Amino acid sequence: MEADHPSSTIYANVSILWAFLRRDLRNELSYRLSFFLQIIGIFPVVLMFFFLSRLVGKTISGPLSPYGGSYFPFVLIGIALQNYLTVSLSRFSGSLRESQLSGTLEAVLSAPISLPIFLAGSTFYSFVFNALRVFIYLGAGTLLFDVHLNWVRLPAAVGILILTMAAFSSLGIFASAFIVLFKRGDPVNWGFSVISWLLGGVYYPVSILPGWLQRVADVIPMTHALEALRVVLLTEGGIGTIRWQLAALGLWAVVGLPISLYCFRYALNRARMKGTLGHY
Amino acid sequence: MTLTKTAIQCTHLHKAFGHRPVLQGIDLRLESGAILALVGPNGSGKTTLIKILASLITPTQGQVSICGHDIAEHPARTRRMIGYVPSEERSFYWRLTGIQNLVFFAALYNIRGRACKQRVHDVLASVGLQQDGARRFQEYSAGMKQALGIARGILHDPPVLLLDEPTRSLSPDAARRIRALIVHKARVEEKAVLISSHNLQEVEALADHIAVIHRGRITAQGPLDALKSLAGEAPSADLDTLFEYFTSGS
Repeated sequence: MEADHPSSTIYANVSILWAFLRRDLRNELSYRLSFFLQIIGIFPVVLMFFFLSRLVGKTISGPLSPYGGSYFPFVLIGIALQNYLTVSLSRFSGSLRESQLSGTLEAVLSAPISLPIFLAGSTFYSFVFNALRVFIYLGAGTLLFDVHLNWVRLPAAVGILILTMAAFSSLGIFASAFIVLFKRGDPVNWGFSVISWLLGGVYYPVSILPGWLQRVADVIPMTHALEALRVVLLTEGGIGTIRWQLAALGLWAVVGLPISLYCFRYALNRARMKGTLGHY
Repeated sequence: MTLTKTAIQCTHLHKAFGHRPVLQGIDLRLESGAILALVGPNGSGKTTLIKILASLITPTQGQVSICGHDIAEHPARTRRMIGYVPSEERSFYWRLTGIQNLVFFAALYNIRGRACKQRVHDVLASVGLQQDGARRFQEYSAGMKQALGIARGILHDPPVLLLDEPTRSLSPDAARRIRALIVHKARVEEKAVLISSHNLQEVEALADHIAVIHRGRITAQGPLDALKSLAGEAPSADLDTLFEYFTSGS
């Protein structure tokens, strides 16, 4: 069979991902106002943090010195990544919930599609679109507010974003398992989003937290993703400077993804057993 | 040789949701080129049985094979061999057109490019939607939605079709077209067709074999004539009479 050959299997899986991407893009574009507002909505947020940074001024320049000393570029990267992860992560469970409500989940799962491809396909559009939004955030800061970012390091930033996505996907897939089993309620995304913006260094550097909270922050992938992205875009520090952050994100991905996939498979099997796959 | 001819084989199939038994000891066999109709009252277990065959529900006990492949051992392979048409119409993306929906589902079966375009065109024509493919699914009538579900079921040309009340929402002429399509699939293309229906006249006209399912058990199974003699009815007896007979017991 054609699909049994490794190269044709890869080609088939890429085609499936492309089909998911086109499906979701068409769906989003059919809601033109919403699509437009998602882009436009970035600018008031950036403006608000610009004014906030003027209020903060140089008062916290000490803790910010590793990132160039200025608050606005620091927080701009923070909100861009926070937004990326919150929206992208919620898509795992959100897209599954939409599939349950629209009745398409059973139709898709009755096709010969592998679980990882189903999950990747269901969130592919969201990750791509929200990655673009990150760069719109950063571009708006650069063009409108004269923020100096190392744009020549853009490929490194994209690489960090992909690694971050892999690390966070495990949480998103784990959250989806809850949706398959319990239909509503998503404690995983909620919990990690709160912990991430509270301790991950989105709005303030982790170094101002009490020592014991800093150690908690060290476990969160957001802390490492933000640190790596800020070092790459705001300083002259080389890749060696962020090797521990990259290793932490890699560890989250390597350990977290198989565990979360196992949990999701378990949840699907339970739903097939209980006959509740299409229930909502 | 016999193995390859057997399209669906269920052996001693049981299903319970919690402590509530839904299917009890179902034995079923369907050959390629034949049409088997499942009839039974609401809640008798027809949809559960079809969903088990489509690997959407896992049986509590028993074995199911599709074209000789066990669905528990080879789920992906058996899914490729099945065209599943659910009874409910809400299984599409409402903001996409009929064509866009079918192109998406075709990709899941590894059908793409020019072959996909041609295939989508062909299946839309076969269910009478050739003029409506560019319309959004949300603009379709209930009957058109049902027809698109059938188009999706035959999109990848599977050897086994599982149709859960396929003509439920259709107008008489659309239902006639779908019945003709089902007969063509079985007689000409040698597909095995398992259909559930409450329309006994339709079952009588279509099916080679009928399985009456009542409270999770198959109470009678075979060609119409065999069911008549089993019930001790005259050859002129209709399926309504037989249905009454085989579903009246507790």
